Amino acid sequence: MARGAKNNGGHKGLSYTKFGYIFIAPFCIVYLIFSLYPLLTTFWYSVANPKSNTADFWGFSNKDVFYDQYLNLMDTSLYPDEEAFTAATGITYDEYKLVKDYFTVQEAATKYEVLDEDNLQAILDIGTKDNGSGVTLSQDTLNVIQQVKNDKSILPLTESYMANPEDNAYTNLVDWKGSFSDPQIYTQDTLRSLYSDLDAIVHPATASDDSVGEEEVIDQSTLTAMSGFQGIIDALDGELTAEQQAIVDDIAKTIGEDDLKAYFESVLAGDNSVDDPMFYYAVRNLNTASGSSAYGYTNELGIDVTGVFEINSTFITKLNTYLTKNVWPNTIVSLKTFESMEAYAQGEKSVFTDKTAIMADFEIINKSGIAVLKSYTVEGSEITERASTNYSREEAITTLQSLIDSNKESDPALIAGASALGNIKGYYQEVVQSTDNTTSVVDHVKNVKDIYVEKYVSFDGKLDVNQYLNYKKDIGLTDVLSLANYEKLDATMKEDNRNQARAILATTYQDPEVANYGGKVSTYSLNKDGELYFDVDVRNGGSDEVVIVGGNTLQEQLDFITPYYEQHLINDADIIEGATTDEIRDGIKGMGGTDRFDINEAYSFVKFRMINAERQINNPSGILDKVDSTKEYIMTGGDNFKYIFTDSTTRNTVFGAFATTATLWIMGFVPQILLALILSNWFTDNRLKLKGLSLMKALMYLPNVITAVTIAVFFRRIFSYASGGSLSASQIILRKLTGHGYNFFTNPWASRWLVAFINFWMWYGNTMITLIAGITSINESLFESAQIDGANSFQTYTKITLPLLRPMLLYTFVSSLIGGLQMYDIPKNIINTSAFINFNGTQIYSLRTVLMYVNEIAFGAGNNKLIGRASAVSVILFIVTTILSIIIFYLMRDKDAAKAAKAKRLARKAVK
Amino acid sequence: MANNEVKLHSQSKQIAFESSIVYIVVIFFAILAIIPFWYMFMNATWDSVHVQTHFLLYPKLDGFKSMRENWAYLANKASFDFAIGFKNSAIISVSSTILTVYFSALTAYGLTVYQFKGRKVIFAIIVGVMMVPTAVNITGFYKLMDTLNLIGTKWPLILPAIAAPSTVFFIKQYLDSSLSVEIIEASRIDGAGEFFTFNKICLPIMVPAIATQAIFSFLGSWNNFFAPSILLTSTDQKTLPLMVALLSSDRVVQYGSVYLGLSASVVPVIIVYIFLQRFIIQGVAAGGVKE
Repeated sequence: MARGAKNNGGHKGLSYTKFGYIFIAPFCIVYLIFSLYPLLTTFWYSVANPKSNTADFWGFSNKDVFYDQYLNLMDTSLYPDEEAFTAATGITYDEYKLVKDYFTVQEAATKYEVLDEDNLQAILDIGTKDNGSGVTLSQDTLNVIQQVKNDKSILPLTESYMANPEDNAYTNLVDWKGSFSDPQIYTQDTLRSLYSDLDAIVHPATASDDSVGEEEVIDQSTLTAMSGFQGIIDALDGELTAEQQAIVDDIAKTIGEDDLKAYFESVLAGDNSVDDPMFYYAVRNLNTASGSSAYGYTNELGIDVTGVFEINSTFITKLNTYLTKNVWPNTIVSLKTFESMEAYAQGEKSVFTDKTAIMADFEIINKSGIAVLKSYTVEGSEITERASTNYSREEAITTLQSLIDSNKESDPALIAGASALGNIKGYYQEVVQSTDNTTSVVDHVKNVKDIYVEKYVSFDGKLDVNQYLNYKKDIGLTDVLSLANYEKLDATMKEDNRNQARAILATTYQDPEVANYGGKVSTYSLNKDGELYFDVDVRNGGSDEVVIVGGNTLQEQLDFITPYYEQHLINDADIIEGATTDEIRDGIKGMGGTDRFDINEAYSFVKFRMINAERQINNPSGILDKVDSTKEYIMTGGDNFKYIFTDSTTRNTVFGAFATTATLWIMGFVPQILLALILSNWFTDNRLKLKGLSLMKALMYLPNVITAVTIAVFFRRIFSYASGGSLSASQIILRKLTGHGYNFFTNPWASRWLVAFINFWMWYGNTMITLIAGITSINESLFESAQIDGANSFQTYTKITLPLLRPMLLYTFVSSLIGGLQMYDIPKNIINTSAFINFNGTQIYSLRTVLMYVNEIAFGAGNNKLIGRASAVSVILFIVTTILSIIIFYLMRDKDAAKAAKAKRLARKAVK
Repeated sequence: MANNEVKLHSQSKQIAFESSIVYIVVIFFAILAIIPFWYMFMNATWDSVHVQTHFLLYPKLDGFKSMRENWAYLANKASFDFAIGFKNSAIISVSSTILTVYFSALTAYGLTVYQFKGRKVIFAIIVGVMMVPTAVNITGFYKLMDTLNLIGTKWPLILPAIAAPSTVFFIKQYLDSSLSVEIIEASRIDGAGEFFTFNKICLPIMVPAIATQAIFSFLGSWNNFFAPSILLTSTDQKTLPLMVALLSSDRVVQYGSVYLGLSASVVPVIIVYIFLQRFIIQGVAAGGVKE
């Protein structure tokens, strides 16, 4: 039909063709501008190293503000001292510091939201309440805070401080905060001492009793070998008084057995483990009840029954000692209880958020009877240790419970207020490494007291340029630190550097005869590039002793040196031409050179000096490149690539990011394609006559349309570990099931599996639908004839479905690969900066994909933007994607079709 | 005969068994697909204290108060401004979708209808560039936008939508099979201009293809995160995904609020999905999905 239309149109059709160009023009133009041109410039940047973090690049409209903030003119590599600084700029350090102070204060203001209304209200809510140690906030302080809150300005507080630095609202707040004992910390301390008690018991410093060998460990066989144990069983079997029977029953009940004797027999027979803490508990209590222990034994009813039960067996004491010394620590360690106690004591686990877990741990310790827990009484916020060391299990548990509960519920106003105070304290004490390392905001504010820098600072979270400009005007530095002046300083510095470089080159270009002063010149060298160096003991000498022979060009150098060299140097020219440095050294030694000379050192020293000087002449460094250059930017040409491939840390980081991306993709893609293949096969299986398929399909596809960021944030939230006293869904469940939480984000593989799962979960529906479409498009008659030929469903699937599905699989593979290599949204929003993984000896983030790395180095925080390297990594990504796509196309190509096409082509050729 | 019946019977038994396994698996995955959203919605109705201590899969019946509190917390503490995010996302997505479908249709039409020189090459190139990973040119793109002074504006996210190779490809596939040249000829004979023919006569014919592509283009733009996160700097320009990303900050500790914010960002998409799921799934089946 189309062909007919074309003929039909005739010359008229021709005149329409120009519309074809017009219609596709917008597409082409936009594509060229917004996709192709950026792609080409990315390629260009990968080799050209744009100076990318200049104020220009980042589009600052107030470049002088950028320089004020990021450039430090007091850097001694710019101006060696204040004198030089003042000579150049016309201001003193002190005056200049006013500018730096501003940014210090601004950064602190950004970091601590001191004017946050909730925070201020929290402080006001403390009121004049005692913080537990007798310190209260004075009415004056509260008034000041009220004023701060009303005025939405920190000034009243600062003014109060300035008025009397010794005693003011701020010091009052700090005092209150300082002596406030945070219940969480207090409880933690208590636990720490409890832990050290436990530790002392578990790891006794010295073994006291020694009827048993120290290294012996009791196990099933030693137990059987001990005739005494049978004696205990026999004793239990004998006639017992009612009291004794009560104790035996009590012990049995506590360890969860019906009959103590039967239990002991089962231990002897090896049916129950010696390592079971219950066994220890039973032995210990039997021991104490028998009166041979230092501890008294109080039964469940609280009656002291010490000495009532008289199995006065030395054996049981001995066994007790055994267990105490040997088995017991193993038992504890095996229970992990001891370790988890340590975690609480070290503050790795919170006693508040891990409340359930800690109670369970105590339960275990208590049940085993291994530790004498201290008991505490709680009255208000006072926690005191009880004098008695005896305890009952329930009592200990209850006490701990109330200890934790009461603190959690203890005056929330005080806790909230203390935390809010932390912000104010943090703000005033913030140490910023700008002007020097030790100055706090308070000091900075003091510096500029006269005009109160805080009046101009923005407390909304970011720099307010207009306010800053007002400040700059008020301190009278607008003219001095204007853009024009910065540029002038930069130009002057550049000129100075250039002149200095010229001077260096001039001094290095000297007549060797002249340089040979003092007769100390001992060596010459000529490398393969024909650069000749003439050296005076580099290690002892300063720079002016080094002499480079030559001119500005290589030819000049050679012309210059040749006569000299022929006359003095070496008779055997072979040594020089094409010689290695070692050979030259040998030659030189032969001429009476000194052994101390290290040709490599001399070579690099001189070369560095020369190159540096030349660079300074061509492209002198000024003051402004301080903010936009690091040595990375000096690289040119393919140096980005060279650096990525040769610098081992960078190489590992870059290729680690590639490996991470590929790993994450594969981990998600394999289950994704497998499940999609299975499901698509089922969904298209007519025999099964499934109903409600479209609903199922719709549900399974749902995750794919939801914003990936939302999904990532959701998973981050439900899998996160305790943060700020809150538990996530997964931790709530885990704790219910296993008694303790699990941090998915500190284990690199756990977090990788999480990301892989999200990808799988979001994409299998998509793949499934594509494959269903692929299978449905296969001619039904193929399946029918296969069935008639007696093929089973597996054969039909592998021989018909899969081969015919190849184009769809190819499409799925390639599109998933391209998408997978650009993985960004999910790992980025899982925000995992705590899990590292080792890649070739370098620690890399376990979830940092290529694009995350590119984004970080090109657009991340800080003012060191590696646009060149980022572009180079992008180019590598581009190349890798292309190569992999081609490989997949090649591997999955239809071999028969390709053959047929080739044959056709050949046939056509033959005909011609 | 009897033997056959037995065989048939055992076969149908076998099928019934297989079907039930399939149902179990399929239903499992269907539930797995929606349970996170369910959890999200349910927990959005609870106050944070509850969310942080209980695993909840049912709503709080009188949840309006806690939802209001959660919402207030989001606005105050998390600088999560749903209205602004929604507005920005809507502006960007709607305009880029309109541009994408209109200009892609125009391009596809130009490539199908007019027999100009090089059209095959151009089409081959368009198919080829579909393979280029879109994010690799980011440094060049950023620099260009900076030169044009467009950083921090919506333009870098809208204008490039004019050139969408995959959309062109799929509309072209559609046109190849369903546009008849007679209509164009007839229109020309009636004296209509080429643009008139395209806009008034052919564009309506393309509606099915355009609708599918519009959905995917819209979703792609709505869900986009990488480019906006680099190009949009100020809070009042942030799109919804950028707002949502704020919710993963550890500074936002109120889980109820977090789930409410996440739900707010999910609900519009789910509503759209409920109405358009048939077209979306058909579109995916036709291979019309990006990435």
